[in-house]
Amino acid sequence: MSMTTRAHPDPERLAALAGADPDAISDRELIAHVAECPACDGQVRDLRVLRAALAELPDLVPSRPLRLLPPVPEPTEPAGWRTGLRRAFAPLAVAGMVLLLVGGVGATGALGPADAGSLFQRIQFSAPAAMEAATGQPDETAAAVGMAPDALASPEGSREQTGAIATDAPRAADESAAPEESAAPDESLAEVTAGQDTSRDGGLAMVEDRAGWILAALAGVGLLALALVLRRSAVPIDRGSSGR
Amino acid sequence: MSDPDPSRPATRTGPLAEEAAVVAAAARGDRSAFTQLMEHYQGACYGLAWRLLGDPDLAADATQDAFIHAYDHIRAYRGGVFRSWLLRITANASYDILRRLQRRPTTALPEPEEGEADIADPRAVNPVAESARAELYRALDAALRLLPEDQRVAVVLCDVYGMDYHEVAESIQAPIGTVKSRIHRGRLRLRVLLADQRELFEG
Repeated sequence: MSMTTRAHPDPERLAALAGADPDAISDRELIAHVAECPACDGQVRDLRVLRAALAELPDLVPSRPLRLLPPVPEPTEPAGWRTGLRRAFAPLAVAGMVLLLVGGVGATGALGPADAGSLFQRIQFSAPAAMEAATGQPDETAAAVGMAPDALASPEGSREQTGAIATDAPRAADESAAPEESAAPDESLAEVTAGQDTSRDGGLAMVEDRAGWILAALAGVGLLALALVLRRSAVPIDRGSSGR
Repeated sequence: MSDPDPSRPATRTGPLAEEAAVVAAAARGDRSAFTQLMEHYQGACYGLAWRLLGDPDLAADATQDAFIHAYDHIRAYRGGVFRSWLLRITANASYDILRRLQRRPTTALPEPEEGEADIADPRAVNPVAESARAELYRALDAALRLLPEDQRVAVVLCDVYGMDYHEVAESIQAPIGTVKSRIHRGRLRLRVLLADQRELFEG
């Protein structure tokens, strides 16, 4: 027996040989040793039998029913007229609700005795004049930014109305909450808005002032009605229902 | 140990009849064809996942993940043995779960409890449970469970499911040399574990 056969190879080399590893089966020294060494040869045989048994381990029945397919995706509706109408329902309804809400709030006077629209108009028309009256000189800045004339007309108004630039609601709220305080600005407003009719009496003037809000509310109602009509016309008729 | 009888009936799922046509139909989006394939191979996939994970619920999860992945990628299937393709996907899904569990690579699965069947899940019925080889299969599965995880995964993929070194390395994202070493050490360890049950390999 040669030295080669007496020095046993690394067991991992025998395991590689049992698995027909290309490196192992081309290793002549290893092959020669196994051929002459009963112990190593027996080990390789055992490992080959083991591999063969492993290779025939059976399949197993799953422990629970498996879903063989992913869930079916939601079918996409064909782009028919019903689909289009149904899709129009939501935006129409939302727009109608918004218009109705805003118009209703404005028309019922929740924003104050004068609507924001007329306030805005007055601000636009009177801002340069108010600045001019207060300072004695035309003010381009006020005209440019549309700053509240009341804030520029008097120191008090200025203090109270700080931050009221182009903001209607706070201004209106201040007026309704403190009519006495707003009297002075209104006076200065009346002075500087020459040519405008400041003596319009209540009813007609109020209706005129709130006409925009009323129209908005009416438009909202109309949009809501249209949305409901579209909704009803787009729902397919359930012919399978027994009605019970 | 004696050489296994090559004439013994196969205990593994063979190819489906007209499998190529069914696979082609599934790749075209035929859901019933895909269902047919998965139904046919679910035992093979589940068996692999169970042997890798050692837990019936995790194995079912891995098999389910593999089916979803296969459904999403069957158009990319480019021929070859469909079973091998599906088993590679299952191996990857199982190994993903192993990684998610953050098990240590050398952690062995818990030993089966006293009196419990070697197959951890009693509902996982061995199709040849009544055959003379059933006990051998149970002993093999029990011995596999006792291997360190890294060796078990490598041996299962290579020796049980016939993947080559490169496929195993790709599945477990390890170098070829590492894969070889794990496989060889795993075989040696299995031989030691089964040394006192040599009679099971005879006949």
